[in-house]
Parts: sequence; structure tokens; C-alpha cells
Amino acid sequence: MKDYWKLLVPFSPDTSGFCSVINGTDGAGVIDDPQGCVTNYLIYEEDRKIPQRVYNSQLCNMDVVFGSEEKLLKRFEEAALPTNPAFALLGGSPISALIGTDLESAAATLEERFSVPSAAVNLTGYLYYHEGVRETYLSLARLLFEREKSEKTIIPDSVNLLGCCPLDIGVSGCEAAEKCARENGQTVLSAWGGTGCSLKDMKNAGSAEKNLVMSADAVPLAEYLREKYGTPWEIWVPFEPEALQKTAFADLPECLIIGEPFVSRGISRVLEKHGLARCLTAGFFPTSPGDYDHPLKEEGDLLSLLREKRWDVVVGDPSFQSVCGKWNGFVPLLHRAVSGLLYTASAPEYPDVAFWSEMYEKLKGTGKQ
Amino acid sequence: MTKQTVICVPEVSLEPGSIYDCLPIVPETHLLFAGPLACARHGLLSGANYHKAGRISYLLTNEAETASGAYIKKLRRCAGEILAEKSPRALFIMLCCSDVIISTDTDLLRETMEDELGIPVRFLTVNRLNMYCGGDKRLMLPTQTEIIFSLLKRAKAKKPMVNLIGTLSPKKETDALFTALKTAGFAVGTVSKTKTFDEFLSLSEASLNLALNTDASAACAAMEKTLGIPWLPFYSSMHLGTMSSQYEAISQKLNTPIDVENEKAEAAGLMEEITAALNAGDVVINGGMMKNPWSLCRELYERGVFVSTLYYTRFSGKEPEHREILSRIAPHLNIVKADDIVEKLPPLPERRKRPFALLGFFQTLDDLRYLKESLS
Repeated sequence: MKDYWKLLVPFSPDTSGFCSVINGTDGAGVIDDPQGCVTNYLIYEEDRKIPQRVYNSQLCNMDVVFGSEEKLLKRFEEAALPTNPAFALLGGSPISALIGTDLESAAATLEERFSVPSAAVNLTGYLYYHEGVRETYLSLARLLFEREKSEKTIIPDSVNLLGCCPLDIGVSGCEAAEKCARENGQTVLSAWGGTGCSLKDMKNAGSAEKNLVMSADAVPLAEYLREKYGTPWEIWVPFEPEALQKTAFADLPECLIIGEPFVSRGISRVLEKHGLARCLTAGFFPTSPGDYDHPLKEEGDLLSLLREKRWDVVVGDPSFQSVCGKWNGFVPLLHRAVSGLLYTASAPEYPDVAFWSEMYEKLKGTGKQ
Repeated sequence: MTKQTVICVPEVSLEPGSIYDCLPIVPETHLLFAGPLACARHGLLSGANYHKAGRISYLLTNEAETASGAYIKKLRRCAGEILAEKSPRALFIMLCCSDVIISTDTDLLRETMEDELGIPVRFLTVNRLNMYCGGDKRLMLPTQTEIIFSLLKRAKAKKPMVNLIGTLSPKKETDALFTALKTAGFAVGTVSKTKTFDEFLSLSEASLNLALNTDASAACAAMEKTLGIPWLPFYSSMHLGTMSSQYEAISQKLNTPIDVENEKAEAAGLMEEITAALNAGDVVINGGMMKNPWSLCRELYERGVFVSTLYYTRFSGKEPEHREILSRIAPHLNIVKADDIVEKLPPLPERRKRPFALLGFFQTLDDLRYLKESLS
């Protein structure tokens, strides 16, 4: 039945995407909800030891009747303002969507009252996380750059990393990307979604020579910057598959890769380039139609895809094993938006040396050499 | 300057013990969460155990369905699917804040669905909008304990059994109460020990219910009306006199002596040591995550310890009788409701974890030992 989940726990919502982007910055995010949206993120999906930057407005029954704008502002003043936020974003929730809170108006009042640049982010708590990540990036970009001039001095060999949010590529993914960029002799001006990305860094984004986009939900941001500053962008998923042997397989194993669109596509390209597998990418979080070979909407779609043919290897979040069943051909690749912090101690969240070794062994083990 | 000591005895975290663990403890039942994605995500860790066992599932609703009421049809269809697939003996449905706002008529829905499905259906509405509205409005009404025991039907005959109402996890039978009851020929009934739904239903044959906390007392009061089972409080408390009185009342009711003299003596000894350690200055009780802040405050006050302030939150134990007594005997006591300022309070110690609940004097002793150690 549609929207009925029995084998998997429903994935991260857009409110978590919002939290994941903001929590690593020096700004503040306030979600207009009683308590659950922010708390779920902080407990189940955030493990960085960083100051908390996201709050809920602590809505109550009276706010539903009389409106929540003043509550939002009060909560910002009490909880966020003492941290000297460089900016403020206000996000919605299922409750604010139901009662129609005017977050744009609240953001304008907040900016006027506290002199903190502010904007609203269109969240409802009904959509998957990547919608929240995308909207948060765009709201932030508009807040920072809408009134700026489009001419910027380009810094040679400089890049922005767009799409480093832990819910997309994990903390290790962003670290790997920053390391790789530095090794390539590039200066990283800002890592949007990553830890320690300040307003000052983001404001400098227009001076980058190129934007490297690490996850699909950052493409609209890349397009915005291209339109505003003419900054070209490319998909960039730096993997280090040194563990892969160079001998191609004669009879290619069938490999299904389920995950974030660019990471999945990246793994697929590496395996096909080395002649190691015939790959199909699938996933629940497309930002545009071509992001996956086989987009999925919910649990039932995944079940159908798994039964469609005999897969030799399936790459995906460890929680998908409850759908695949116990089976040797599963290669875990954690996706926080799926299983939160449940498996961070036992599975990689970005393809690393151990991941590629296991991948190769599993592909070899299909006996198709 | 007077030395100030902040004390806290954090409530024990029982594993399992989350909001999702309470209802499926009844065997052969199923819990369905119905609501927005953001709210369903709460089940990721909280519901992990029962979800793996196939006892919890989720039905996601969208804005249009909520606004138009179409989610009701969807819910009924889903319940039918669950019945066909899993044949539960009862179905629990968890709803959330959005249902409070649109006033979902759960009574009517329950009647309709029970007719359709032929099994008991119970709704639990979790209303987080009550968290920050001042006062002590409940997050769940009725409580999970009331919901569970509303499934019982009046028994034709009673048997020598005493039910423990209000705890989730299996108990180690360490309390003298168990020994006394067994000696007197009474069985002890708890939901967590029942293996089948029929066994759970047989709890209605008990001759006495013991309410282990104030939430359970509402369930016990309801069972006295509907099932004819009398009840007594058996709350954990840090007021030693209250603990003794409870044992005496049970002993009298069942006409069975319960020997807790050793435990009483040990508790008294520990309290004396704690009192000596605290007498040098001013004591502040950080009751944010405490089950028994009020009874502890009363016990210390009665022993001459100067308690200047007691902080409590909506998650603190209620203990209304001790609070009322304190209002009379300790007028100087500064009582602060700390929900809005909890971030500014001294950090709470980490919660103790245990896979089973302790009862009576055993819980009190455990708490006192913890407090004594924290002061040394």
C-alpha cells in the first residue's frame, strides 16, 4: 500500500535537511514546531561535536490559535541570539504548514528587530530531506547574494564545494573532498553544508574559479551561482579506488547501487570504467529526472526492484538489508538520511579504501571472472 | 559565602523504555504510527526493537490528506492490510499533533474500526503542543498505561494474584514484596511477563492492583470501576516514611506480613550519611530528570537539611502529595519550573541505564546509594 512502511523506518524529512545544512555554520536556524523536528535531528542524525545552531520555536496550543510569529521571534531571541548568529533562517514544519505561519513576514520582522540577516525556508516536514537541503541552500544564497553585484574578482585555483551536508555524503565525505581539493592545489573558499562553513566563507563564494558539486541537492545552488557570477560547475565525487584491481571481469556481475544520486553514479562509473560490473543506480532522493536510472518513491518500489532480477551485488544503506534479506552480496554504504546514526560505527558513509576492497571481493565472489 | 550543593538523582532509563516500546509490550498486538514524515522519523531509534520484530509500522500522511480528511480512509485501509497480514489481537494507532489541531474524532474512529476489523483498536495521541504551554498538561491523554489496561474485560472470578501496573520492562524479583506474596500464595502479574494475548487478558482476574506511579493510578482507578479490582499505591519514593506506609497498607490488605526491616535500616543509615554530608550549606535539587525530587526534598527537609531551591520540569516526577506537604512545611523553598530555562541549569548527570525496573525499597536504596556516591 502506498505510504505504508513496514520494513524500513521512514527517511529523514526536509526539516532534517535544513538542520544538517545550518548546524555546521555560524548562523542560526529556527523551525516553527513544538519540539520533535529539531530534536529528532539532533539525537538521531547529528554526531558532530559542534555548538548547536538549530532550535525549535516551542509551539504550543495557544500559538496555533493566535499565530506563532511572536513565539518564533522570542525563541530566536532567547536561544539563538546569545550565540551571535551571522544570519538566521526560519523553517516550517507540519504544524506551521497546517496553520499557515507566514515565515517570510517573521523573517522580515526578525531582521528588523535584531539586525540579523534573515530569510524563510519553505519546509513542511512532509517531504524527504534533500528537498530541505536544496531549499536551505537556495534561501541562503538569495539572502547572501541577491543584493550583491555580479562582478567579483576571481581567485585563481579556487573552488567552492557545494553539497557537503552530512545527510548526503557523511562527515567523512566532506573531509575527503576538502583533503582531495587541497592535494590538487586548490583553495577551498567555502564548503556549503560542511562543518565550519561561515557566513564570511559563503559570501566569498562568488570569487571561486569553479564550483565542485558533491551532491545532487546542491545543483540548484550551483546553477544560481552560475547565473549570478558565471561560475562554472561540475559534479565531483572524489573516490580513491586504489583497492580495485585492474583486471576486468569477462562476464559482468549485475550491481545495484542505492544511495545519494552523485555518489551512486560515481560508484557506478568507477566500476564500469574498470570493467567490474554492469550497474544500475536507484534511490529515493532525486533532484532532477536523470539523477537515477531507477528512481524510487517508497519501500514497495525498492522491494519490486530487488525482485526484478537476480542482483549479484547490492550497495546501499545497512538498513536495506531488512528488505534484501541476509545475503552475502550486500555491500553496506551508510546514508544518514536513511538510518541516521544507527550504523556509523560499523559501516562507511563515503566510499573509502575499505569500501572498495569489500566491493571488489564481493564482485569477485560472484564467480563471473 | 554559604556552600551550595546541587544534587540530582537522575531517573533510571529502562531499556527498552521509549514511547514506542510501551504499547507493543502487550503480546500479539501491532502498533501503527500515522502522521507526517517528520514525526514518523522519531521511530528510528525509539521503535527500533519492535520495528525489527515486525510489531511497528508507519503510515505517512500528506498535507492534502490531512486537510481534506482523506487520511481517515487511508488509515482504515491500512488497518485492514495489517489485519490481513499479521492478524494482531489488538491494534494500537499512534497519532500526533496534527490530529490534535484538526480534532480527529478518535472515539468515533475507534468504534468504526473495531466494527470493521473485529479486534480492539486503541488510539494514542501524542500532543507535543502541550509541552510548552505552561502548567502541566499531559503529552498523552489517555496515558499508555490506561490504554493498555482498557483492553481487559471483567473476569468471572478472581484469583490470588496481584498485578503491578505501570512499568514496562521485566522485573528482577528482588523486592521483599515478591517473597511475601509468593509465601502467601499470591502470583504476581505484569504485562511484560505475559507471553500471549490471552495471558495478558487474564490479568483481569487479579484480586489487587498496585500502581507503580501516578500515571498508573489513573489506570488502576479505571480498572476498579470497570473490572472491580481494588488498588493501592506502590510508588517509588525517597521519603522513607511513605515507603514504609505503602508496605504496611499492602500487608494489611492481603493479610500477609512483608518484612522490609533490613531495607528500612539500610535506607535510614544511608540517609543519615547523606544528611551529614549536606548539612554544611545550602542544597539545590535539580529535579529536571528526577522521578522523586519532591519526596527527596521532603525527606531532607524533615532531617533538618536546608534546601533552598527545587527545579523541576514537565519530565520530573509529579509526587503531588509530597509537593503539597512541602508547601506547608517549607514555605521558604524556592520552587522553579525550569522548562524554559533548562539550558541554563547545571548540567544533569548521565542517566543510569538498566534493563529492568527495581521496585519499592530496592529502588529507593539504589537511588540513595547513587546520591551518597555523588556527594563523596
